[in-house]
Amino acid sequence: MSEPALSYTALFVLQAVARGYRFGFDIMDATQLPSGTVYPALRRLESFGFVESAWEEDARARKHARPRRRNYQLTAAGRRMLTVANSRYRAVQALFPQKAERS
Amino acid sequence: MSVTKRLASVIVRTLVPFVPAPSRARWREEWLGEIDAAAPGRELLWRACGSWRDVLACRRLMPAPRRETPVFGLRGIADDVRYSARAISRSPGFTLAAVASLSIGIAATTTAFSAVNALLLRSLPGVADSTRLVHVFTVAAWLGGGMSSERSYQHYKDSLTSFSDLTAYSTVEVAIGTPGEPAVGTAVLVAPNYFSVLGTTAAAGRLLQEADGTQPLVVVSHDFAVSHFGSPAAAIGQVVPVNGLPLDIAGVAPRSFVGVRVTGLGESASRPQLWAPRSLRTMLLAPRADLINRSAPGDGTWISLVGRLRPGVSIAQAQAQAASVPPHIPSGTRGEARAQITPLGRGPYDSTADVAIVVGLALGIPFIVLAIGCANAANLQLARAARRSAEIAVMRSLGAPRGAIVRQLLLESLMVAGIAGTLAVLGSVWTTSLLDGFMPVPSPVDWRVLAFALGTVLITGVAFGIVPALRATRGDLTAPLKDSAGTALHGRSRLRGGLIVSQVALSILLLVLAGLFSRTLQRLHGVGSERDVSHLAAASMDLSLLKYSDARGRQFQKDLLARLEATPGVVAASVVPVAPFSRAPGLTYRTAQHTGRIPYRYTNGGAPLGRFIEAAGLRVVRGRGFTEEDRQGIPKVALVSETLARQMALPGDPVGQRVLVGDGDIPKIEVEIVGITADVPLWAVRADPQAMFLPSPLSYDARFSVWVRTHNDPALILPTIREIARELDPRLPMQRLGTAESWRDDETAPIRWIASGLGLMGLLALLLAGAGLYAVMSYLVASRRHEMAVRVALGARPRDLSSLIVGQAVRLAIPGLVLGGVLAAGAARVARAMLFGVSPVDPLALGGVSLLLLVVAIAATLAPALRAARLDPLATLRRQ
Repeated sequence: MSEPALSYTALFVLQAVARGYRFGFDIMDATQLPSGTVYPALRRLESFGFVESAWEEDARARKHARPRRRNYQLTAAGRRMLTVANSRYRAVQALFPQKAERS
Repeated sequence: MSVTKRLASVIVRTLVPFVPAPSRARWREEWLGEIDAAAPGRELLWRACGSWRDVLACRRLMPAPRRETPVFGLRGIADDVRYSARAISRSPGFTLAAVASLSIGIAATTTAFSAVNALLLRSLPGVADSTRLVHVFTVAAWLGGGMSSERSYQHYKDSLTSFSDLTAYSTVEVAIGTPGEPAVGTAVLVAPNYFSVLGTTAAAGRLLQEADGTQPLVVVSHDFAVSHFGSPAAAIGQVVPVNGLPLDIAGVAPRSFVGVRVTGLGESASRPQLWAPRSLRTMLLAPRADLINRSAPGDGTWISLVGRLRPGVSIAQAQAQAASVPPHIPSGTRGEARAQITPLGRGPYDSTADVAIVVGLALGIPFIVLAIGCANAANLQLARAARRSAEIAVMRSLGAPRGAIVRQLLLESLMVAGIAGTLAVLGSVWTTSLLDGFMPVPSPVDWRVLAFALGTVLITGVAFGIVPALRATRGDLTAPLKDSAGTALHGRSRLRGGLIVSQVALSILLLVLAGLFSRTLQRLHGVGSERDVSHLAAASMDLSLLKYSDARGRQFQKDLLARLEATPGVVAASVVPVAPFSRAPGLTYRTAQHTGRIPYRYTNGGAPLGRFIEAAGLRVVRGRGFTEEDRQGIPKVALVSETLARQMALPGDPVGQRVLVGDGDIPKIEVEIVGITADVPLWAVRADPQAMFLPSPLSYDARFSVWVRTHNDPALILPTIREIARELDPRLPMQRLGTAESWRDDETAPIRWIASGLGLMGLLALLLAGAGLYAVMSYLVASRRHEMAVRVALGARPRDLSSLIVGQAVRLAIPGLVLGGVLAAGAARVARAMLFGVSPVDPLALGGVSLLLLVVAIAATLAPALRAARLDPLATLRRQ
């Protein structure tokens, strides 16, 4: 078995990213998980290549006079992983609030 | 930016340095960006706090580069700390037990130290730089203590130039006519410059000053203002009658201000309620004729002088100047006299031997508990080090120097002590707040207390870690690796056994002492059963507060008795110089057959006003009691107790014989013994049963108690006593009012505190000893697995194995029990003065404690013994 093992919470976070929650704090809001869980999960997902991250545009940050935010996106590998995982753990999908769809 | 946002970004910023360098910049911007964009609120703080887990995650993903050569210095220490943290978190059971043991001890010592700190080290509340303040007094053979007179105040004020200013104060007891009920309080009569010399500023209004003259002004304490008027500001301009004289409240002293000296400790400490100008003293206080004899500071003429040193003048210079100034001596006195200056120092007490003893006791017992905790932690550490012997041997064979390993192990014990210390300091914030009720000044956890706690942590960390660390790294390398079993209870573990024995002994010591004190208490409750205190009530008052003349005071006492005796339900009443169960001055007597150097002898008893024999419930066993005729004029007859009758050794029947009596002076009054009373321990809790009673007083006492015997529950008469006293003089405060049983309980309260305190500490210590025993026994079972497996293979039954372990535990408990018993007997001998009617070797206290110990020992051994019994010999032997 070559694919890395992911915890339920990591899957949950991956799920949130897939639903279009881009920023760390937005993911926390959506999943109701604490920051001490969400960020480590994101780091792990990123190290496995399931998500990738980039800074938001400078202009937007300058407009609000604040530091840039980092946004996360699903990679192709992440999407595959999620499909496999969703078929395996249907419960994770069911846990998610349905109306949260946005992109 | 909101406060929560700012706080959150501070939290995140502090963590930035711990993020691995390559991802640090990104981490920082990402977190700050999120915090900036987020909505403020408590949730945000929680999220920021969670960022440390993200730091850990980043570190895991991007490990710091491995160092190739051993690095010393800071970097090496950081590695050691990390290794130690991992080591102690690997055995949470051990850590928990050690932290619990130590934190109890550290919390106890820290709390005790905060009390010591408040009493001896902290500067006085509301006083500016008390180290520049000094006491000035005249030392003379005829004067005794350190009091000064009004005249010497003026004299020193004019002649001593080393002070920027000199002030005077005296502490007196006064009747304060607070709204509702008059109460007795402590007042300080101060010179007008008192507050300016002390550098005190008012919490509200203004303090006293020179220009006030004889205006009827008063400064009240912060507590007084809050409890009577709601707030300091509300008190300004209100009127307080003091000893019947209405005074205007000019200002409120700062919170916790007690002046420079407090008398008494604990609940009886005198916290002044008010400060009044000395110029009012003749209006406030009764003139007293017998000032010198009474040596009490409360007369308003004897005063304490406090000076503030001029800037740049040292205490030595001031003392030298004082020595050159001739003191003020009243005319007609002879002998050497000189002015003396002593630094006021810190704290509200003179640093006398009394305070030192209290401090020693206060610190001593917590230190015993700390010692037990230390022994316990050392025990656990030993057991753990032995379990890790293979790990240590590997480290050594890979070339780690012994010093490095010792340092590593010490660091672990210091970390455990540090965790315990942190918990203990948090706990002592709470325990010191409990102390406030008993202390005259507040005892907060300040930097000194924190420094003390830190020192305690360092010392305990080294103390319980050094021996196990040295032992663990001693000896040859190969033996532990081979893991040959059977190194059980010989030589190597004698130390462990010694630790258990000593902590069992210490907890026994505390418990036996607690047992002895509670037995004493039991005896004290028995006091008075011979004379039925269940129907007695008493109230104490002080007529000198209201400037009564002797004649008026005597009339008051007679009126009080007459009205009380006329009250339905009252059997008898009497005016007695002392309260029930407190010490009495007693009488002196001389028989016709008297021999010896001193021309008289001393006895308990007294000469109360009214029907004392009936009120106190004394039984006349021979002869007759007093009649109404006896009570008129100078006493002509006397009653003696059975013991005194024997001690007097009169030829023939004592009844009918004549003796000379007096009250504390040379006996001059001739009386006839008309009867003998049954023996009772009459006045004090520890008084001898010898006593003599006279039918009427020899002198007038302005301070007295009225004893009232009733037919029914004495509590029912209490409001009546208060009512009658108020009818006679509404300004008079009742100092204490209660049933005889409540007086007795008050009198025995210190013993009750000691007993319950010792008992609590002893139980804690026993609990700790039990935990220690459990740890050692578990370790024994683990390390003797091999031996026991062989035993089972050779035919031993499980029961044999568990009894082997239990026997081992008992063998450790018994010497501890014996040693503790011997120590307790020694300590009880020292404390015998406080043990009333209980032998230092009390079988009940000793027996009870021994039984308790055996129960704890067996409970602590049960689990390890069962583990031994369930041993699977085949599996164990195969593992070797």
